[in-house]
Amino acid sequence: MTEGKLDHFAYDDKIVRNFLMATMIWAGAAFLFGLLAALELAHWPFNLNTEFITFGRLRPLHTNAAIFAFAGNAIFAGIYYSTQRLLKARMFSDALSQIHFWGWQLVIICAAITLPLGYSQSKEYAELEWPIDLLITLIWVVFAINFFGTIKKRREQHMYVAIWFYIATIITVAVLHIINSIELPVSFLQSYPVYAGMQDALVQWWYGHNAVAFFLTTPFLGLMYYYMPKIANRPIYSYRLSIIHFWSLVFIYIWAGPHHLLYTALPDWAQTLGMVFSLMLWAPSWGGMINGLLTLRGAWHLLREDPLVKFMVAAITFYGMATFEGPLLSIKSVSSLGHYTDWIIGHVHIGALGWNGFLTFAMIYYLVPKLWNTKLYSLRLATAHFWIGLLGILLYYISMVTAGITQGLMWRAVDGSGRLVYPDFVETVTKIVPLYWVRAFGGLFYIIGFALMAYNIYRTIKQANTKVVDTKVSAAPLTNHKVEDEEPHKKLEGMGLTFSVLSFIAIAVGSIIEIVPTLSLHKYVEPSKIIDPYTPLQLAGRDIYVKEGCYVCHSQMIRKLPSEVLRYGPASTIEESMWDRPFQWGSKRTGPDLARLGGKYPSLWHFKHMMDPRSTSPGSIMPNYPWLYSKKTDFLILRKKLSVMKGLGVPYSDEEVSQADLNAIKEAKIIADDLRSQGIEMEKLDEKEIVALISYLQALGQKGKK
Amino acid sequence: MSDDKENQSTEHFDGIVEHDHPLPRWWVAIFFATIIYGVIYYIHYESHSGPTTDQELAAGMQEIYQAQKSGVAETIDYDQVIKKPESIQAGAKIYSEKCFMCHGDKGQGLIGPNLTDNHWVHGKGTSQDILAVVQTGVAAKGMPAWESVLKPEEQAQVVAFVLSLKGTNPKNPKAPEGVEVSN
Ligand code: HEC
Ligand code: HEC
Repeated sequence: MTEGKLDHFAYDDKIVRNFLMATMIWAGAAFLFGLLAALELAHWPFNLNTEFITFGRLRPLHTNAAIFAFAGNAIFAGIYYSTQRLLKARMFSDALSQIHFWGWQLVIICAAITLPLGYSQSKEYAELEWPIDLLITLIWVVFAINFFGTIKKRREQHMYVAIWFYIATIITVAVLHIINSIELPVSFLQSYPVYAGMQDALVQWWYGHNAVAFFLTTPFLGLMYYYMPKIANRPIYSYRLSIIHFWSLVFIYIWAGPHHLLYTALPDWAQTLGMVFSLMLWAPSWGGMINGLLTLRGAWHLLREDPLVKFMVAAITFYGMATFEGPLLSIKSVSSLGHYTDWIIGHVHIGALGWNGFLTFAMIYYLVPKLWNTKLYSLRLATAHFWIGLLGILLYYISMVTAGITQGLMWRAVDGSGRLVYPDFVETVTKIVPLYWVRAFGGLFYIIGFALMAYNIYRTIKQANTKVVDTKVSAAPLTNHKVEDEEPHKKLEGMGLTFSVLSFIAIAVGSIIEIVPTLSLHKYVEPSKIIDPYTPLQLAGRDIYVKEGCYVCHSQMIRKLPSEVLRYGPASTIEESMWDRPFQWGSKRTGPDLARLGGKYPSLWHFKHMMDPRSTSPGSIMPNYPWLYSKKTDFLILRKKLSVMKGLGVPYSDEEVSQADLNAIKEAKIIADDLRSQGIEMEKLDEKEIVALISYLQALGQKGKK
Repeated sequence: MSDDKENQSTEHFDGIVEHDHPLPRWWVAIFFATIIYGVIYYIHYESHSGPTTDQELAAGMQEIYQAQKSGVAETIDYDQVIKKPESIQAGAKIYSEKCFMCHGDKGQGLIGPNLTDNHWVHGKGTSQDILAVVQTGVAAKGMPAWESVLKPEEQAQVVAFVLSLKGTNPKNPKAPEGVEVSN
């Protein structure tokens, strides 16, 4: 070691406190939205018959709050604290830190306002509309500059494994977000993606899967590598394991997206890639688990004594469970049973509540006393939090896996004479409603645990009445002297830029190989099967479908499985969704698939069903949509919508574009006349949103028929 | 402890110590096994020695068609079941689960036509006519086909119930549709 002049400086602890407080606040919000969503599935009137918290709009609010508000702020808190210490440097710029903090809270508030109002792109975890997408990009770049600037001015030659994970996170999230959000605006709060149908599905699930990977996994692994050894005060198990599992994880993860699309119209080669890469993810994921758990070797007694260690160990164990279950669910035959069911919901909550939640809780319990210069108010309360939270997770997981497998088996049951055993979809729903109640109780327990924590943290901060100041440190600046004979990877850990470029290459390979071929969609479309684009009124109805979030409960993708063909009709084709922007394949079937709904029922049926689903389908848990009967369809904007679509390559003639509103009004009259002839009396029926929606519903699966 | 031997590299980052244990063997085994399996699996399916998803589906459907064909062999004597007096009650139960939302709880008509009057859209309201509509449905008008949902016996029972509705004159009947049939 060279003895030189020491720099004297202080870490920015205030920014960490800010992010920690934000984490606590948004955690409460995300959990409550989740509980409300769970209750609405058990008993739909929990939405109070209001549009703003109806399930289709509430679910995106819940997922976005959990991922970007709760986990996001937790990641930032953890990163800002650990990065400064691991690199022995204050953050690059205090101003950028503040912009990052306030900008991110602004994004969250914009989301909390626009999602309940129904401004949504319907792409899961990427629902936010284009102005917010731009804001997110900006703030993420601010974060990146701040982070990489800190790496540049670091006083520690080598970057610790936690930093590697942060680097991969920042680069990959930027790539995912930008590529998935390429869209053309129609109005201030609406846009159409440039991708269509199968293409959009592939890009979306490349994004969706890797949002889980690079927002909920890699940053948290980084946090684990810092906070686990800190909390347990034990050494990390294996340096070389960390190298191998880091690079293999980053390289392999990015390929696994298509496992969300098995047996769909996605080309086989992409499905197969998605499945095999998911299997290969098993070991790299468990590498992280091993390194975390074995940090405790020789000190397992801590698990009994220290609630923080309990939270950490449980979190890592849940990570191990989730990353075993993930590859399992990616096996085609398992996916054919589990996909679209609540099993998947159980799976993600093992990750979200167990891995992300518990790890964050451990981190907060560790950081708050340090940052406020005091002791935790009560370890016993923390222990109680742990047990109640654990009970909540187990109730949640067990009920959802049971519900998912039960319903999956009912959907596919075919008797000896080739008939569905449960042809009535509702029958498979009412069967699992009791389990929805159990799940809601699980969520309630988890929230009670969180409330204990909130109280504990409040008392901790309150008892720390001394004025808090930034932690002061002294460290030598980096000298330029090179260490000879370093192993290659050690050398790499001293090269921030090269390391980042290599991480980028690692995630670019899989992305390019999977996405680029499908960019020329026409290669996969058979010219003789090309269908007509939506009529203006159908398009208006489609946008209502998107806005109301029907896709959170309904798929539009009949998979290539005999029981699905038997239930819903011929398997969906690429051509059928080729004009769909955004695609509506869906990921969950709380209600039946709608890909071939058109013509199945008279318009009057839909009119009654949307008003009160139980009037036509006793036992249904679908919410009422009374507001569709008073709101008016915006006919005028249809010209703009068609012209944007035309710009994206949909074959509308100039006349169709300029006459869009007039044509839509004509179409509406036909449907309204039909309803009137059946006895429906309603003033200005033609203009109501329900008519546009029915026009879309009646077109589903009808286009290819001619 | 073997720890000390294996700690070749021990680095300090903000007080964190890193050991350098060798990779657990079983972990390495899983790692390579999944990679090898993945490569073989991919080659098998993408070199067309394994079936495509379309071929898998076609084979699965073949099995179902086979089962359906052999199922047809156990056809029943519909007329006999329709005439049995017990059938009306069994049919009423089926009607109250599957039909009432469209034809009204008393058959007075709602989304679908009134089944109690003597106007018929399809045929003349004979047991054969009704059975035919029930089995094949009217896809264009939103009357589902019940052939694949109800068992042959249940089809006959619900027809028996519909026949029993004739002339019951329920409240709030839907306006007649179709052609009047004089009996
Ligand atoms: C909470 C989940 C949920 C949401 C949100 C939801 N549905 Fe449903 N939907 C269901 C369930 C469950 C059923 C099956 C029972 C029934 O027919 O009501 C269903 C059935 C349907 C059916 C009948 C399908 C068939 O083949 O019988 C249509 C049509 C439908 N929904 C349309 C919509 C539309 C349009 C929206 C959005 C405005 C929507 N649903 C939102 C749960 C939901
Ligand atoms: C989704 C709504 C719906 C359901 C459910 C339904 N029907 Fe119908 N049904 C209709 C419609 C609409 C028509 C009229 C068809 C037409 O105009 O060609 C019809 C026609 C009929 C007819 C012919 C009437 C005539 O005048 O010729 C019979 C008989 C009938 N249904 C019986 C049944 C039975 C029995 C069930 C239950 C097993 C049932 N329907 C369930 C909608 C429905």
